[in-house]
Parts: sequence; structure tokens; C-alpha cells
Amino acid sequence: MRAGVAIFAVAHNTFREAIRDKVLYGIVFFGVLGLAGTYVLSELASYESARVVRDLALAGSNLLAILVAIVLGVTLLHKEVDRRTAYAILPKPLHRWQFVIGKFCGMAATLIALCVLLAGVVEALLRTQASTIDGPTAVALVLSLLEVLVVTAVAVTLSCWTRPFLSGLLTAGIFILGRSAEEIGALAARAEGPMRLVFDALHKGLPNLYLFQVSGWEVAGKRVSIHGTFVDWAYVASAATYAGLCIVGALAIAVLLFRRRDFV
Amino acid sequence: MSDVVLRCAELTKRYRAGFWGRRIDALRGVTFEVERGEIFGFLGVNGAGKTTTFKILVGLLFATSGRAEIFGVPAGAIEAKRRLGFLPESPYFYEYLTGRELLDYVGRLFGLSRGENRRRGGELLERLGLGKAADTALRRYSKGMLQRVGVAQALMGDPDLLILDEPMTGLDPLGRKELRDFIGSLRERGKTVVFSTHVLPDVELLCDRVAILRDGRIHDVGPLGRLVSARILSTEIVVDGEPPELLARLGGLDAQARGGQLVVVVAKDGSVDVALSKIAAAGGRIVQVTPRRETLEDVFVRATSAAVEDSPSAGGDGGA
Repeated sequence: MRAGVAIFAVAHNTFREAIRDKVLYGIVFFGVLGLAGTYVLSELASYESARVVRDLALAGSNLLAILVAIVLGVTLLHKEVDRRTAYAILPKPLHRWQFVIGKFCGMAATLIALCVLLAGVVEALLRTQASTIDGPTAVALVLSLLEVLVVTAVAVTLSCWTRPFLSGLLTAGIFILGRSAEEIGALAARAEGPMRLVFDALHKGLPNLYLFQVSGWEVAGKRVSIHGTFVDWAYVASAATYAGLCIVGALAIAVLLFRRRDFV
Repeated sequence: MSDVVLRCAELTKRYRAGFWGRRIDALRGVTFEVERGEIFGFLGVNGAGKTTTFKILVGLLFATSGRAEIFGVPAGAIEAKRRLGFLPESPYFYEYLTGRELLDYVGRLFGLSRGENRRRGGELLERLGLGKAADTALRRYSKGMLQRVGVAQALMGDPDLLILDEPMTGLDPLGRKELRDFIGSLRERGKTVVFSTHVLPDVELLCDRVAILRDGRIHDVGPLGRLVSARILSTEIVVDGEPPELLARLGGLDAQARGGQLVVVVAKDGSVDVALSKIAAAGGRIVQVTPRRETLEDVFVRATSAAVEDSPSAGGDGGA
């Protein structure tokens, strides 16, 4: 109970920090402006403009949320140490693991709020095409949020290990490789010798972000699309379980890295 | 039950720095104890190891070897942190928070109820002269105000032991006096305070005992009365009269003109009576006779200048 109170206090403060951060507002403002640009593109499309808006708005909002997750995630703990604000907080009756988990939870709350805002923008854009967020689009938005949370956990973990620039690059690299997990798996099956080991390690060691972006691909032998037959909520539940495991694994590493750290 | 609140035994801290992993011994076997209700001063030049010791005590650093205990439990343990308040050196706080919000955050980490949090936070802000700035963002606080809100956050958990790293930094003389009085009032409430400072008169006014840290080791520790001897180092006699004429008639005395008066200094082994007779015979009017005793500053300068002479010239060891 007491552990939860401390985690909530850290999370609340992290959320408060994010929503008072002018840099975040700048990124979101220009991101939303970019999303609004899909309306212009849809006007240029000769047919199925609603489909164009749906595709571009979903992809744009996902990339914007991923960008914010990386930028905020890699600086999350580094800022506390660099600005020495953690020096006054860590001596309080609080375990270091509670601090790391609290920071992540605050960041997750911020990103959930951001994704809700972006979903609102997607809905507004769809309405310009006399459409709305339907079942498959809602599922796609939830899967996108799960992916964002996994990327955040990776960013937080790397920020415990190295400086923001490098951890940003590494997180972006993991994001790209994670999205290509199926292709890497196929390469592992075809490759031989040491390359097979490398591809296999990448396929099994990195989070499989492909699971969260399945529209236009095959799932269980069937092609799925947000414009037709898409994955159901049972699939979302299994993806959420997988995301949860990835987050727990990443945060466990983050806690281990942070636990014995000297604050010189 | 033991009255020892804080105990360090043979505490060492070694860092590796730079590309080649140069060894830096910040602490080389620090041993001292602080008892309940004491105000304990921790002195040393920059790099002597004061902040390193404090950081180990509050769990920000891990000792390389040795033992640090607070209330009988290892330093850094939650049970120790629950009874501890800490003000870091040149504290930095979340600049987007107001003073009240910062204290609310800290109070929640101590598990205080909402009502208790509000009451204690408001009371501390008032006592430290920040009542009017309670709802101002910390980014607008002056250095002195930040220092005071730092003391307030250290007291939010109503700790039995307070560790303050350079609490007087950034305070003007009035602020320093207020903080000094505040620390004094903590003693009356039975709190134990350990603080480091470079302002030696504050130590003389406040501390029951002091430790002088030198090159990562305790050079001396004890009550002020033991460290600072009561013996007279010299006696200063201020004489009214015409300085040039008097000077000529006071041959053999160490005298010099200062602001229309003459100041005669009698060394500790000299006779004040003889000097006074000579001055009277020369027609000088004695205004003031002041014996100069050893001060903490003398002890500190002696200890720290020895550190400079003793410190290794090379080999990668140094204070931190």
C-alpha cells in the first residue's frame, strides 16, 4: 500500500512535469498541424478520400506518439540526475525501484493522454470525410498505444545506461528493428552460420513491434486491414499481454541499472 | 538504549575517473559518531570528503568499504530514511512546482495524509519566511529562498536527524542569522542536526561538537571546547594619543598606528603588565585591552594547511 503511494506520488509529479513542459506542447502543436495536413492530401485524392485520411492520420498519430515517447523517455531519468533534482528526492523513504516505476507510470499517463488527444484529432479529420472512428480503427489506436508504451519502457531503460543522445539513437534503432521483426525472423530462417545466430538473437531478443501494426499484413494466415476484416479484441488482449511482458522486462533491467548507481 | 544516532566506521569511497580509470580516494577511513540531540559541525576544505560522507549517509552513494548506520540500521535503508531529513548542497528542485507543491510531493513520499501534508507544509513555509511565496513557481525563487525551501522539504517528514550540506550558502547575513536561530530551535525540540559549512562563526555559535575532515580522513573530532584551547595567543592594547610621538617613546613594543590610535600587540609569552606600565609612562591613554584566544578558524587553518603540506603530490589520489 505504502509502496503504491510513493509510486503514485512520483508518477503524479512526472505527469505534472510533462504537462507543464512547453517543449512537449511545441512538438504536439506541430504534430497536430502535420496531421491536419492529411485533410489537404485527402482533398487531392481522386477517390476514397476517407480511406486516405484514415491511413495517414493513424500512421501520423502513431509516429508522433513514438517520437514523443523517445524524446521524453530518454531524458526522463537523465534530467533528474543532470539537474540534481533526484538528490533531494531519493533520500526520502522511497526505494529506487519505486522511483523508476513511478517515473515510467507518469510518462505512461502522459502518453495515454497524448494518444487520447491524437485520437480526437483523427476523429475530427474523419468527420470531414463524413466518417468516424469505427471498430477496426479503435483497435488500431489501442494497438498503437501499446506499441508506444513498449517503446517508452525501452527508452527509459536505455536512459539508465547512457546519455540521452545515444539512448535516443538506440531506441530509434530498436523501434525500426522491432517493426521489422517478421522480416528478421524470415532472414533467421533462411540464413546459415553466424548470421543465423545474429538474426535469431535480434528476432528473439528485441520487442516484436510488428504485432502492434498488423494492418495490411497476415495474421494467423489471414490478411487483415482496418478497411476490411481486422484483428479482434481477443488479439488486442494477447498483444497487451505481450506488451506488458516487454515493459516488465525492460523496467526490470532499468531497475537493476539504477539500483546500484552512485549519484556523485 | 544507545544514544548514538549516526555512526560511521572506517568508511571509504573510491572512484574511478577519466579514460584510464584513475583512482580517486574520496574517503579513506572516516570514523565518527553523533549522539542524540547534538548539533554537529562537519568542517573541511573543498574536496575534503564532506559531501561524499553525507551522500553515503543518505543513500545517494555506496561506500567502497566500512559501515555507516543511522539509528542502528544501515544508511540508505528505508527505515533510516524515514527518520532522516536531508538538504543537498546547492539544492535544485523542480522549477515548475510551487513551494507548496514541492512540500506536498515530499509529504506524500513520507506517506502523510492530505490534511497533515497541507498543515505541515503551510507551517514550515511560514516559519521559514516563505508564506507569501508559497504559490510562486520555484523558478522565480532567489537562491536564498531556494535554500530555505530546501530546509523546509528536509523537515517535512518531521525527522529525528537532519543532515544539511552547506545550509548557509547563498544566504545574506539576516537569512543566515534566521537559519542559525532555526537550527538552534531544532535542538530545543530534541532533533539532532549534522551540517557542513565554511562559515566558522556559525559553527562556534551553534555546534556542540565538530569534526574536521582532511583529505578524506577525520583529522579531529570533539567538543568545541576541547578543539579550541582556552589559552591566550596574544593581547591587543589600544592606546589613545599622538601616534608618532608615542611610537617614538614605546621602543621595544610591537606597536603600529591605526586610525588615529596606536595598537600594541603583546605576544603570548610577553608581559602585559610591563607593556601597560611602559605605555602609561609614555603618556598614552589606554582605551582597550583585549586578550586574543584561539578560535575555531585558527584550528581549522592549522588542520587544513597541514593537509595541503601532507597531501600526496602525485599518484592519482585526491579528495572529492
